[in-house]
Amino acid sequence: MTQQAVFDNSSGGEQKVFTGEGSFEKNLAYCRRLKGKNVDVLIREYTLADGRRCAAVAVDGMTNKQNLEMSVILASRRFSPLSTDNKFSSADGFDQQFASVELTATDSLSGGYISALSGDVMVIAEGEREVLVCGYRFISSRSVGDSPFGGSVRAPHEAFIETLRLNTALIRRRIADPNLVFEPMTVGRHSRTAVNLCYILGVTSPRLIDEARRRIDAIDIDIINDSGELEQLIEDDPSSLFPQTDGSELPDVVAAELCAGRVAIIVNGSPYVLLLPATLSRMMKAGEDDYQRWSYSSFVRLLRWAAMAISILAPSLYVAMVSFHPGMLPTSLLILTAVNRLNVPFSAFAEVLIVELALELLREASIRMPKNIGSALSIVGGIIIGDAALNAGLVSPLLIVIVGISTMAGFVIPSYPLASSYRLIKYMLLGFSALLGLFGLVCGVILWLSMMVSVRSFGTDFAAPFFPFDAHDAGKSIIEPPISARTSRPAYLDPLDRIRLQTTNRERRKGSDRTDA
Amino acid sequence: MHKRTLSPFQIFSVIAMASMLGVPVTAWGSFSPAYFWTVILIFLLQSGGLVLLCFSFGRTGKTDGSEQLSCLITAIPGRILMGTLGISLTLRSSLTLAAQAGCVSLYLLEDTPPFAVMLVLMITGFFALLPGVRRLSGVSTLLVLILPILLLLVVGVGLAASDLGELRTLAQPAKNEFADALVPAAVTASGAECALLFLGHRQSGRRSIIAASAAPAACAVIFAALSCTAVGTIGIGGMNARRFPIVEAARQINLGGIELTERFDLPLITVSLFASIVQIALFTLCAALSLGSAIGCRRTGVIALWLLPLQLVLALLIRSGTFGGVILPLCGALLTLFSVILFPLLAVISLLHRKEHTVQ
Repeated sequence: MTQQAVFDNSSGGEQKVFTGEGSFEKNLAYCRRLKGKNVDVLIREYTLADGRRCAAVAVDGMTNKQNLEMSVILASRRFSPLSTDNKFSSADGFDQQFASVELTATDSLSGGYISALSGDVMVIAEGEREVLVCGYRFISSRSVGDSPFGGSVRAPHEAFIETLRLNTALIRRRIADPNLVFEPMTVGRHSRTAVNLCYILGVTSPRLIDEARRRIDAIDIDIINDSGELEQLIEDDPSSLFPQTDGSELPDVVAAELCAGRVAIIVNGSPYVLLLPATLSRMMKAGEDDYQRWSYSSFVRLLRWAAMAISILAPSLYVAMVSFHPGMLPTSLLILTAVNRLNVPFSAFAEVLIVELALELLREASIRMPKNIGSALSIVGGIIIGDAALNAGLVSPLLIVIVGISTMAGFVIPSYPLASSYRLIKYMLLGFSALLGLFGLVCGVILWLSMMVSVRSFGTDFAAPFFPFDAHDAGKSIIEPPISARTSRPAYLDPLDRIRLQTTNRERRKGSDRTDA
Repeated sequence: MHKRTLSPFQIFSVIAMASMLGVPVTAWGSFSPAYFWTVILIFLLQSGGLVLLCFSFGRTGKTDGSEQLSCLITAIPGRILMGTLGISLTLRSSLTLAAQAGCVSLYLLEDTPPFAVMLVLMITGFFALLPGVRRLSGVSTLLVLILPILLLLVVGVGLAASDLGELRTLAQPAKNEFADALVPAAVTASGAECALLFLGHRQSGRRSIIAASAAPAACAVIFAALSCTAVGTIGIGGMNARRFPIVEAARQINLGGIELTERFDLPLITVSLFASIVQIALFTLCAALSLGSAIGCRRTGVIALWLLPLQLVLALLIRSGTFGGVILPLCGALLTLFSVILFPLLAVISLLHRKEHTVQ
């Protein structure tokens, strides 16, 4: 038997509160029709102080039941609207009767019901032309913990969780500025996922805010489970290999980027907050860079750029050198390579591909495995299989070293989406060098660079500040200057206010010394 | 929003990459002190010419090369000039294609047919130029930031290993050699003529003029450094005996203790490969733009697509030796015309044009 949908999502299906004679029954009947066979939706009828009938609609498991009973039902029983136009919002003492900070009155019955499905409590009263929505959302969630992407020595350890409001609180705790805005949006016809567009007024470029808002508004999809889905729906070019939105699971990083002039998108149910626009230089920066001394941060930053080159180019260079240009290797290394590869039955390309794919399998398996078995898997995969492959002569020890270093270098890249896209580019370059050696590798690198300079993220070039070149910002992307020298926000973000640091302690001291003199 | 304007650094990068960063993949004939000084002189003349050209083009406010020229001289000569530039750039692109294919076949891929190498070079170049000036200027910018590191390595190690006494011969050019050196030198130092197409997209301001004129000057410095390294390593005689003298010289550099690579030509070949692919792409794009301007067609991509097989056939003919003796002098003459004569001429016409406006 075909079941008809009780609510038309595609057209919005808005239903205003019924008024006139028998309106309470009609409103209640509408709610009961939407409830259908749902066991989790609670509809509790009771009587107001003046004898009129009333009903509260809530979802079991998403509402704080104690608040529902104590605040809503008891308060409603005491409450007698005195307004002349039969509206909750016009009633005298409306906001003092209910012990809820989030209290709204609306004439949309369907809107009130949808809010109830998100954890609020909807109150319908006989003779009223509005419904009351009380914010008593209570969803159990895990506590704020460490980042799943790895720890840090100096940086704060707390990371975002799956609850939107807690995530906004983690940001608000760091930026107590009235200009910080969490603009509410809803995405998903069925999921009605709460999304918050976050920016700082007076800092973030209005063009960037408008563009982000426009793209999110344009989404018409059934469900959004995670920010990863939203990310793919708002990016400029879905066919590109490069990530076009940045992100972080760390509140301190998001707060710093908001202050730099970026826009953040927080999706309910996702611990990963999106940052717009995405740029290569930002993705090569770790949260900890700002907290350490500039000299060490600069060293690590340079190491990271080198690691990026190694992770992409090392296996391809190995294939090019061994298969096409062995004469370019120093004699001692050439002899070593030849001896190592003496019993290997595969070509250099096949050898690299086998080891790289084995590592990919190991990496993918270790993510999916339960934590307790993960370490055992590493031992089996890394040591036992690796050692056996070496002893059997399937791969050469030199290759294991090269692929190992390349993989390790890949983990040094702080941005997971960027590291993932570079993994794909690594295979592309591997194919080029297997076909045409160093010449193919150069052609592949040209293609990689041309793809990279074509990527734009919300009107900003992905390769910024290297393309278009800005010497000031490019220098800061490679060498981390002392914090006292980081006086301006990046120009490529087009912030309304470019000044970041106005006076340093040293300047202030100089000033006071002069006054003393 | 995609900006059609090019920043000063983009202008610098495009012109520098069009001149292959001053890395001569071949000496286009015999290397002599006269050739060395002529190349440097042409680079410097281009530098001065670009200052004048930037100044004159900055006043027209046009982005299309043909329109710019029409502002200065009447429409028909302007179109003829653009057509000639298109033909010369097509020929120059074919020369680079043939030379680079020869270099790759000699040093990297002995068993691969040169035709396959040329085809890959063309396809890569075409992919790099496909969306137009913006992508190409982006690739050029990134390469200009990356490649000098490799060049510094070669020049630094090369100068340390070379016999600097040999450099004295460079300071004594024979006067009768200059005439013979002009054509190969003009071909080696070519590239800046592309600016005729790009300067219309430049951002206004003095920095663009400085950037445009600095590019050929920087290429002159790199060329001089590489040539000195090569002369110091294998001498003038050694350079004349080889087809790719600077690559050969880099190959012979041997520094004890630095067991990084057996042959030091690897970084140089890498730089020259990057530079020549971008140069081929730039020349093809500019040829398509200028031919499009000349015939009044704005579908640059289609023209570029038609130019690819033409360049490939020309490159094969050059390699086979059939037309090499004709194309090289023709190309050299056209490039000399643009670099040495046309730039100052356009600037003078522009100044006269300005006076007329002032009177009005």
